[in-house]
Amino acid sequence: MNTIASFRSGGIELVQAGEPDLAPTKNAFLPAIAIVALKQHAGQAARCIVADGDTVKEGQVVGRPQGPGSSSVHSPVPGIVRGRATVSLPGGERSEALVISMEGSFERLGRRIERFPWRTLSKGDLLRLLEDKGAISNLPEGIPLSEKIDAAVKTGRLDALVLNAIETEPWLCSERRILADRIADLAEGLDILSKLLSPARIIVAGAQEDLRKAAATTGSLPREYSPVIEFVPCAKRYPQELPNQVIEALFRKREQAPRVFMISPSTTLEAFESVVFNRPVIERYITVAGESVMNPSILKARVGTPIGDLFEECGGFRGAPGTIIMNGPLRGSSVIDLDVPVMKTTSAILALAGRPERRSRYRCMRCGRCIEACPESLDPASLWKAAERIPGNEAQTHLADCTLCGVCAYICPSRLPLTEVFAAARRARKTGASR
Amino acid sequence: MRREAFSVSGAPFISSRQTVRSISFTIVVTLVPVVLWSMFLFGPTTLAVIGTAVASAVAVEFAVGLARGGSTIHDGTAVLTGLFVGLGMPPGVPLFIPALATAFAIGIVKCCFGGLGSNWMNPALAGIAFAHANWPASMTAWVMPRLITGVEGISGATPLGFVRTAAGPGGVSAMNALKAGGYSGSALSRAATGFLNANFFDRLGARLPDGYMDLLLGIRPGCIGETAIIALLAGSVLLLVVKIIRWQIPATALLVFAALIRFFGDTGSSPFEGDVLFAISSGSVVLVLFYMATDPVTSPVSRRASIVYAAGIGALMFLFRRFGLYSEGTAFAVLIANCLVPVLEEVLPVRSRTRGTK
Ligand code: SF4
Ligand code: SF4
Repeated sequence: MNTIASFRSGGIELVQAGEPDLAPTKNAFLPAIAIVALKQHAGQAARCIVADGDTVKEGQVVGRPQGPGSSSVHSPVPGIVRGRATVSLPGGERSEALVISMEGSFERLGRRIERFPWRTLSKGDLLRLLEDKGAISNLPEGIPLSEKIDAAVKTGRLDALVLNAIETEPWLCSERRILADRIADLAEGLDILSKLLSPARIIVAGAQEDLRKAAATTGSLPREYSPVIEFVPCAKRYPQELPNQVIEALFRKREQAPRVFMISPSTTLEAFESVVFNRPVIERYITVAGESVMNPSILKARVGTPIGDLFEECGGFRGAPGTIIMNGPLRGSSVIDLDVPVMKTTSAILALAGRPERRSRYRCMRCGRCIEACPESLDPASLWKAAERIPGNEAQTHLADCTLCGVCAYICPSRLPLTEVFAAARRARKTGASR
Repeated sequence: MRREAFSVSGAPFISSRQTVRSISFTIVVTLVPVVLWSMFLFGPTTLAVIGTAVASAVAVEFAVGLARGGSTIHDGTAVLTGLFVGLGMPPGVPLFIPALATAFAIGIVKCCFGGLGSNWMNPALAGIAFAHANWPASMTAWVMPRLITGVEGISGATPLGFVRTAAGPGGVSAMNALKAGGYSGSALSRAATGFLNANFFDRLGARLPDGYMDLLLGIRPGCIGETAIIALLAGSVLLLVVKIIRWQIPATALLVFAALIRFFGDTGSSPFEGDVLFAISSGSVVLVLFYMATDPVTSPVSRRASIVYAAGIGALMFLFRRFGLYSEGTAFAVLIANCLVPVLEEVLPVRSRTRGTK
């Protein structure tokens, strides 16, 4: 546990500005009105199966998956479906959403929940549970967990199941918090996953201080709940948490990469709650932070809670915020207003004082900083030139290797919107290919 | 429902502190002591020269910006280019020369090749070279610092020029030639040297000969910016520390230059007697290597290529100094290396997976 693993080249040291002071996790107020987007995953929006005026129970299915990449959506609160709304998802897409006003009694809240004896279930039953409860893997963003597991099982034996608890983006803290608060549940979650995946090893990757605590706790767990877990401390250099960089850190090679199934603590927790408590995904750990937030904290909030409510709960804003971001400041997306609801892929909401910089005022001066910093050993300056010259041309095939980590745009002294342009070019290529 | 709308853009939402503007600004700040020192040495004429160059640079950049639609003044590079040209002028030069040299630098070299980022030659150095080519007499009319003569405007030869004419191929060391020829050191220098010897070098069993202090303090004729070597070195260290410039280029060039001087001799000295300290401190080597050869736009992106580029500059500087006709070979050395950058980048490309997508 003493050597710190890291990736090979590139990356940036970020100051962890205003990380929540790690006050105990609070339960957020339940939303009086929940806005439940039907598209909270990579695939098509879920098909709505309730009508306006229907009474729904807490955790009741309101949307069924349609096709690959789509997942079930549940009502986060008991209440009445008041109608539909359109919400702008972070990243610019729009989705239909159900507006549910909270009413009636909670069946789960505050009651002792039975633990389900899942060890007797078959793999198929376990997968079905994960699917029904709408567990979503946020690595990569928004693939239903059951689908991801299914795909991994089909391609053969796994070398490692990796619980990736690394968070190096400024302010983000939810995954680390889950590791600190819920290690016993995570261990059981990993147990469930390893039953499905049969990996050769189970590895937990995270910051050294986080792992020390976690290792101490897992050591004292009853044997039956704790699979053999290896703890590998990793660097805090951004973007250590991205899958390629985790693999480089853990295995020192990428070529003939070991077969790895990577999962975040929040998704592991979803797997645990789906199976053990038969509980759908209706709650997320949300880091509420940023320069403009009065009392940054980590809240357990219901999916569908408008993010404005959460900011208010954290004491509101200190001055008018300029930018509201869902998830991290390097890879997240800015949102247009405070009505955007918490999604199943949300782990943070940030309010920053500055407006997004007007970019592209300068030209690339070939300083080479982006090349030095790119963790994927790409040449962002050349990619930029190619993208500038002929949008969507062949030279952009290398964009496939770009992880959109944001490092190049962060470091560029000319403030070129490199990552934004790469993301747009990638989207253009994808839609072009699917046509 | 809330109605506040926030502006939306693509990630990332935070960025490093360095921008083109802040980088230009920092470089300008590191040069302020140099300017002040030169004013102290040569009087307010230096400020007039520098002011003219900067004003001309900004004006031309502004005009080009107007013509093109889209001002580029705010990035601060025009100010920097003007400052560099001003620093490359002799103190008493007629003011039209810095004005025209800067206009050439910005109007032709920088903007005609597409503005910042596309120019393949360092604009400031091209401006200085342009001035040397057109007005050689004015550009080599050096004056003695007031500290030596007590009055302004007495002309004198640069140490290098002096050694060249005074020593001939005689084989005396440069410093001795200077002294034998009656090149007077300043009282300040003698005092400083004495102080350093008494308090520092004596304890190490060494002695700093008289004269070098003058060179390092810039108490000698020379162009405005090359005189205050100490201030330049301090500024360079600062730029290295905040990672605005990379050490590889100046280090490699200095190493090659020093080695060649050592083994093949400086101008006016025989092989193996080259005086490295004299060579580095008596011309514009420091200014050009740390401030101009490191220009990101005109130096190679690829680290491997930049080593070759820097070695080339070191070698060319040596050649120009040893055999050249004019003492300002440093500017030409970098300009020639600038022209070779595309070839170097082709032969030693950036090591990346994006190869071949140019
Ligand atoms: S966004 Fe893409 S090109 Fe830029 S640093 Fe990250 S991986 Fe490299
Ligand atoms: S960091 Fe920006 S200015 Fe420098 S080479 Fe990359 S894109 Fe060009």
